[in-house]
Amino acid sequence: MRYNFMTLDVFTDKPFGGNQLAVLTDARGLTSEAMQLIAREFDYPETTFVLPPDDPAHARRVRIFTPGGELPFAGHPTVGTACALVVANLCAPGEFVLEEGVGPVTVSTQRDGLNYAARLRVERAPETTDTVPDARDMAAVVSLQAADVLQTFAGGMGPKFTYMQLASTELVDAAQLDHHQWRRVLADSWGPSVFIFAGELRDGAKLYGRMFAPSFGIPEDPATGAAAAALVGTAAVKHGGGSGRFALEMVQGVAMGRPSFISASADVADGQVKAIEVGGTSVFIAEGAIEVPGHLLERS
Amino acid sequence: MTAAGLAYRQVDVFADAPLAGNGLAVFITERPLRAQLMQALTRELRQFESIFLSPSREPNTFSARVFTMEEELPFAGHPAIGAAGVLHEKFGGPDYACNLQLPAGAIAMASRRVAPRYQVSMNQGPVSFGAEVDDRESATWLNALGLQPQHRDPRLPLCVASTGLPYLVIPVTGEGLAVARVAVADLERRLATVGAKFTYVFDVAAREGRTWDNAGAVEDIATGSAAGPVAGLLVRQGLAAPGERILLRQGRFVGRPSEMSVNVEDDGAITLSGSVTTVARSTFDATVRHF
Repeated sequence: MRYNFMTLDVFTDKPFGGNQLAVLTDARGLTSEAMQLIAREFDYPETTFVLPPDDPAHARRVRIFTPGGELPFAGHPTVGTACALVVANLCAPGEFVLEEGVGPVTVSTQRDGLNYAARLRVERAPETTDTVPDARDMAAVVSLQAADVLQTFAGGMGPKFTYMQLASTELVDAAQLDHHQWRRVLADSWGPSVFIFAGELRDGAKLYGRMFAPSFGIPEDPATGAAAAALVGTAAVKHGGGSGRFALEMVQGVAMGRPSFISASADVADGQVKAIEVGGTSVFIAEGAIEVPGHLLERS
Repeated sequence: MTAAGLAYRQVDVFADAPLAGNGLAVFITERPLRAQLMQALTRELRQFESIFLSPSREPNTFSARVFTMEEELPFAGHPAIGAAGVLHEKFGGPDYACNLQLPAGAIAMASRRVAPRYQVSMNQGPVSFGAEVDDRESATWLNALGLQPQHRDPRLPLCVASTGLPYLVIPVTGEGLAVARVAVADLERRLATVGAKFTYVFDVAAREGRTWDNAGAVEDIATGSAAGPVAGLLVRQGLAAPGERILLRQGRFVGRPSEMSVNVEDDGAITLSGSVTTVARSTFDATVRHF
């Protein structure tokens, strides 16, 4: 059975920047095993599978797979899938709801030059924990010194991250994941994926980041929407005022030659995060068809 | 420079089932692409390797350039096998032969259609054997791969063998294969002391292997350059016969099971064969311009 797919570069307006995504725009009939094998075949950070919605008021259901497993939510697949549905004329530009593992996610899409931009909104606060490895252990994970680390904290929005704020963008570029240290310090911790960044955590700030997710089979990710979502939510409570909007602009993937631009914001009321938004532009790259053997299809 | 409208295929090489084996992107263009574009396309597609073919003046002969995410390779086995399978599919016939002109030299490829797949063979030349590791050092090597002395299969020596890229073959039991991992930070330096570039942990009874980059970050799915050395060692130790079809498995632990078939000829030359399946056909959008 032949399935059509599109590929996009997400969180960029230039081809071959941002983060790759493959979207199977009509994945009806594929088993979960088939989805996992296809995600591994493309070997992009994520591949999404678009299905009819459970609730007819929603546009589509979306399942998200990395080469290593399924995710309940992820930023770049949500933004990229929303853009793909509009490019393929399956959804009209504007606002619609995608059903993901975490629940309904509202997206709004609009034309951006030759491309489309999308912004997702989830009405929930990020998860967090106080048990975070200290600066010395975390510095060792990315081959740096404890003195290079300003703070460490953790946050999650679907996937969970350990964040490390570094003293300069040069240190962010110099970081190298040490797999032995990662296994020792983080592999079995609350937030096994590592997000390092430089820049101030204040409303309107620009951050410069990199992300490593060995447990998902991703040595380095050029743009991580879920990391931006959990970071903006966690930072809004830690460093923002008690209420209002707290926004961050994030640049990621520069050192790996895939510059990415993510805009993220958190709406806070009474010291609590009420909603998080993550947005960016996607470039349509290629379309094709993939052959899926019969034994990997659902029996109808 | 532009990728607009460019067509490519994704194929699986050495797959023992669909969506398994080693992935590869194959481009065929009338004229060679510029190196910078080939590198950018390879990075975009994220397959282990991409191969770029264009016809030369001689019949059934193609210039071939192979790229990884990092760099151009002068020579590579699984991309050559995948490319020959795609050319066979394109030019038809039950049997097919072609020459691929890689920067390091030309290789003759032979392909047989075993529908829906193509079984492609290439000659890897003879195996040269290097250092054998003594019993005392064996324990240290096993330890470096997270293994204990009881994981060793004594029917083969720990030995360096090569058909161009030297591997330290580490013969183990099935249990040893399952738990093996890179357990030291300086594996590359240690391997240099015995004249090897990589390790190949090999379950002698099941004829199944595993190998990683020396940091232990990425496990390889099917390693054509290790298949010849392992088969050569099996024949030298009398565990396989010259002319026998030796089936080697790999990739099970990364969810991409693979089969490599090796013949050691009477004169010691290695023939490596693997199956090729086209998985996807794609085209870059007309708006994709680069640089």
